[in-house]
Amino acid sequence: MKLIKSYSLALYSAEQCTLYNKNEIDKQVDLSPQSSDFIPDALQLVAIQQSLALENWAAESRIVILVPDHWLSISNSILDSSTPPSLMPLAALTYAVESTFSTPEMVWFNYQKKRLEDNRIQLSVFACSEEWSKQLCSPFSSKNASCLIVPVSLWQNIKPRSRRWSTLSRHALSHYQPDHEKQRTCKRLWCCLLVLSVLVHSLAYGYFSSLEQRIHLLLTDRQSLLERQTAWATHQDSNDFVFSVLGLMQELPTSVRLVSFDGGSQQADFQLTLTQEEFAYLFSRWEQDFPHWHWQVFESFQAANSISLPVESNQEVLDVFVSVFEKK
Amino acid sequence: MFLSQFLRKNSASLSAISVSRVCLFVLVQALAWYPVLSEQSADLERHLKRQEQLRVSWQKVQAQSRLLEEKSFLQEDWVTYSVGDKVQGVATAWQIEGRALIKEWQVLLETVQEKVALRLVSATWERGQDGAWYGQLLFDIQEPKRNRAYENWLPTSLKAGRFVEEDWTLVSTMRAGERASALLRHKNSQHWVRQGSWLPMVGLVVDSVAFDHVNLINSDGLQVTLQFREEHRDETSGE
Repeated sequence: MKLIKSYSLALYSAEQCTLYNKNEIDKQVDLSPQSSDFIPDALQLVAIQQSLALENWAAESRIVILVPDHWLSISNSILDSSTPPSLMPLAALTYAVESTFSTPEMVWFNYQKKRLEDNRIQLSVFACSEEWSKQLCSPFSSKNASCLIVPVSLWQNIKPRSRRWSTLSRHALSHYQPDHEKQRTCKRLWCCLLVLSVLVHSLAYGYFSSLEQRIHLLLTDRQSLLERQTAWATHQDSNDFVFSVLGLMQELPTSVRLVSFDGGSQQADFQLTLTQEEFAYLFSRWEQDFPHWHWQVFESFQAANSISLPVESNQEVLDVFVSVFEKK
Repeated sequence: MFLSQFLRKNSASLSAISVSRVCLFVLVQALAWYPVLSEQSADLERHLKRQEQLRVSWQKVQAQSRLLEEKSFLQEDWVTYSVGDKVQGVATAWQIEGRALIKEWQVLLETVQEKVALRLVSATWERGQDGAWYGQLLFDIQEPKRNRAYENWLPTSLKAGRFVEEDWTLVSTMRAGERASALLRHKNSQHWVRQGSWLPMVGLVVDSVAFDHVNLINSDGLQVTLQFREEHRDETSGE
């Protein structure tokens, strides 16, 4: 399937009308200058058209009709460069009407602008009447083809490579279309708008998704880093038991002597030297303050070192071994 | 006139397209993306910052672990320390052991706490005769955070009892074979003491009993000597 639709070509000459298919166009179109300045009238045109071998025509829906220049009315005029481009179609229409003697609604024309050295513009107008152009197209109109009438000289001026349908339609005869340029610019701008919008949106979305991807990467990275850190931290269990018991030791008054202390996360043992009265007081307070701890007073014997005679028996100095456990 | 009328009349010129209008419309569309993109970008910044913080904190943990292994971490010669288990190449436990006076321990442990983040797991303290303490402490190494609270890992507080010499009187001394004992009077009470006896009222231990004086020592290793006073020389020993 060809993406670019091609067109057929029909070349009128004084004697005949030759039809070329799409693959023949570039090679064989015979554009040798005409032998005569013969301009056919309506009946003669019909005769020429009889020579068309329409049966062989592989019906393309587009056809370009090449017309010898002298079959059309040509006018060349020079305009000032101060003429605004929007008035060009109107100027061309005027010249076309003049040269074909038809009314403005019935004239088909095409104009070409050429800038001259002294900054003036040469306007060339090719014109013919509507009925003439209808007749030129008539053999092909039955096939529902869209046809373009192009003067031969214009065809020859276009490079073979740029003989696209769109280029040719700019060189073909048509009605007065004042808004044609404007419409074209309009279409172009709409296209531009669409393209730019699509571009903007796709760029923005691309940026957005790249950001998202980076965030995703960071999150997975973070995950692995966190795992590593928690693996390092979790082996440690938080337990303040030994610290609390040590705190008790630090708060002992100076009258109590701490001999030894051995504490872990579940159990602490310590040995004190103090008076019985003091011990009773301290122990009762400890049991009150820490009901969730389990106390064991292992041995409480009179310190062999002291042989003092106390005033009261509770002033006796004792060595006390205490074990404290965290209750489960 | 009403808005609908106006729009109907001017629909052609309003919908006319020009280069400036194209630019405007494209710009509006671009700006419409701005809040979304800026939020996403801010999100990314936030994540980057968090990632950086995480990385920095892990680096700190590793640096701390390396510090604890260094031989030059603690200068004191009375202490030895070693690193325990390692997880992920980073140490998790640390142990310290040594024998010194309580004041020296305080300085050491303060320095340690300043430099590294530790949590006490187990502690063993033993008071020696000369007032020095043998300590063996085992710690869990923690993530170094700023503004750590100071923790006191010492076995006692450093407050010393006040020894008022006027309150004490050496009344007499006695020797029975190898054992020497002394009679001390403190305020209204009298106590027979010998070497190793604990005097709770002043927090002192009797270090030695000699013929004419008694040496007392406190938990810091500070020595106090009680001697006979001139006035009481002639007093007889009481029971």
